[in-house]
Amino acid sequence: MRFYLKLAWRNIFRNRRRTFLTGLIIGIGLAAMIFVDAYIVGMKESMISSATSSFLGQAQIHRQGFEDTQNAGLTISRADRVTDQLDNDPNVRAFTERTLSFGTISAPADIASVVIYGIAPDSERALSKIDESMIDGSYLAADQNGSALIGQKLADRLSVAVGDRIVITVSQAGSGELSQTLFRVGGIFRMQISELDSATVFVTLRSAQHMLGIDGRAHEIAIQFRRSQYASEQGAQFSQEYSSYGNVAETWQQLVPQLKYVLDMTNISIAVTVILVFAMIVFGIINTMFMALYERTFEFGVLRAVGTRPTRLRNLIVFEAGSLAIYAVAIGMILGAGITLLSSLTGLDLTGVELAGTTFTSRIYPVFNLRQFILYPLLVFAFTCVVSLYPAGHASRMSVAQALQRAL
Amino acid sequence: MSDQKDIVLTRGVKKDYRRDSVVVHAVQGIDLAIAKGEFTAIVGPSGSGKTTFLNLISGLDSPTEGDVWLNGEHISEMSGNRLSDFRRDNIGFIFQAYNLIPVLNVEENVEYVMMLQGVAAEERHQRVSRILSDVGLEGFNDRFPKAISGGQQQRVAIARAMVTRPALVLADEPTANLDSKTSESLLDMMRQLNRDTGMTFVFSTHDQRVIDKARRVVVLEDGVNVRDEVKE
Repeated sequence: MRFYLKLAWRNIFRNRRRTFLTGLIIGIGLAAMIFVDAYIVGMKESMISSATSSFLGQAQIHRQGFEDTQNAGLTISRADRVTDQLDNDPNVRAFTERTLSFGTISAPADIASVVIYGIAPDSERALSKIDESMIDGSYLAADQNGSALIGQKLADRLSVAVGDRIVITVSQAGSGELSQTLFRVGGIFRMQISELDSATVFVTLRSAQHMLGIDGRAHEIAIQFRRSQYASEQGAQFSQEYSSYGNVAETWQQLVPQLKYVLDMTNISIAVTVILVFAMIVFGIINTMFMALYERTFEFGVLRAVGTRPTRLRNLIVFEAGSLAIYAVAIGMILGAGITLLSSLTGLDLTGVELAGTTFTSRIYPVFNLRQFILYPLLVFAFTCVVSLYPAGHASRMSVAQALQRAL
Repeated sequence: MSDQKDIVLTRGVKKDYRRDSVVVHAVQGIDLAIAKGEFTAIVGPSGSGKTTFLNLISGLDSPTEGDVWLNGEHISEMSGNRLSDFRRDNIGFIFQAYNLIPVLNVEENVEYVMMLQGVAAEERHQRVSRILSDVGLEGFNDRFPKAISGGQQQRVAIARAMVTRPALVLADEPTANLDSKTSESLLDMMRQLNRDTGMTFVFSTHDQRVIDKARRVVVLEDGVNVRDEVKE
């Protein structure tokens, strides 16, 4: 066994140029797998981060039925108990309460339908990027009840600037009566999420509760976990724990299912890449092995003539393919890591591009993981060995007399 | 059927090939017995069936008809691993030049068959040193084939063929790619080894020098044994 491994290793370097080129082809394939995988993982993380850290949160709690009806009266049930539970939950990094209602905003120049969020300015900072997205004016203070934040596109449409007066009209909970409140534009934000920038208004939680006639109550609790993977790994457990008192707890996968579908699609992209790379490997290995086979027919004939069993000859060729795979994997890992690291200096700029309702808010950077440097190389190695069984079987079955045509 | 004195015994051996729908009768019923210790040359023009006949008596090919015994075993009925093992233990092969494994050094080439036989490393080393000394290649153990001359390579091949002390050494045109001086020297060496060890040598050749050195000459024409001459 050791002898055949040594023989195989020496054999693959008999034709250094061919071995290098074959190793390079397989290595480029592996490098492509590492590169694509690293960027897809990076893109997935970026999409999730863009979707969850801008405003959504990684999970939300609502009163049962609120999401379907948007009924302002359906506020979180036993909110004090829920917030106590969240306060004591080691997996929860931060949470904030919000009200959510539909209404209109009017200014002297125009009127628009909007979503009005009542937010608790201090705790909202930990959940969303509204404060970081201010381009004019200032973020809300907790006691700034007469102030509203509007998106840049909405401000442009209404032709308003910081300090201008606007009127927000909503239906009150219970009675359904219209409530109109005068605000001044306290700040203008640009979050690069179309629906937020063009049709959303933020006011303080207290102002919103007052307008809606739901003092002390909220429609939504948005949550950030300590680990970003928590929602994916233990989302079901979280939902079960917090879906109580008539409330419903959902992670981002349920809140934005279209994003989950897109992420699932990326797994198909990886699978397609893997299939293409493995097709390259099949042709590379079979071609190289058969070339070597035809060049060395006489030599194989000699080996068989002097008493090498067909199975040993087959093993030798599989060992040669395995050695070639190790060489190619080394090339691929170095190339893959090098190219990916090099490209990570700049990242991929998809800022502002919207996909599945999520807008990329930052550059995409590749993310390395063990799968790229353990699973893929092992797959390439194993696959190469399996593929080589074809030429190896061919060699072990060849007629010794024909192989030795030039001799005996 | 087999006489224990005979290393090789063939009875009515035929071999047909099909080439582009034409049947070629390469060997047409040869009966031949080669006794232990003989130094035999099988000669004949191209296409006479020499190579095919050697393939048949060494188990590299199977006859279309007839029987072959080698060292008392009916090898035309063997196949697969059993035939491989039989060749490994009973036959030493010397082919035309350039038949060493290029990635193995001289010692590894010579000990290869012993490795297949499962001979212990220590004994392999001793036997390799002894046989390399016998063929005049002492100290060449670590050299690779490309670093030695054609004549030296053929000496290594002879050492490889003989190191396992096989019952039969088959040599196909062993001098074909060698100059006359080297050929002469190798033939003298093989003749001497034949006398010293009693091993049987069978050559397929065109080379008059080999024919001159052979104790017995079997002439084939069109796949038939037309003459069988034993020299005094």
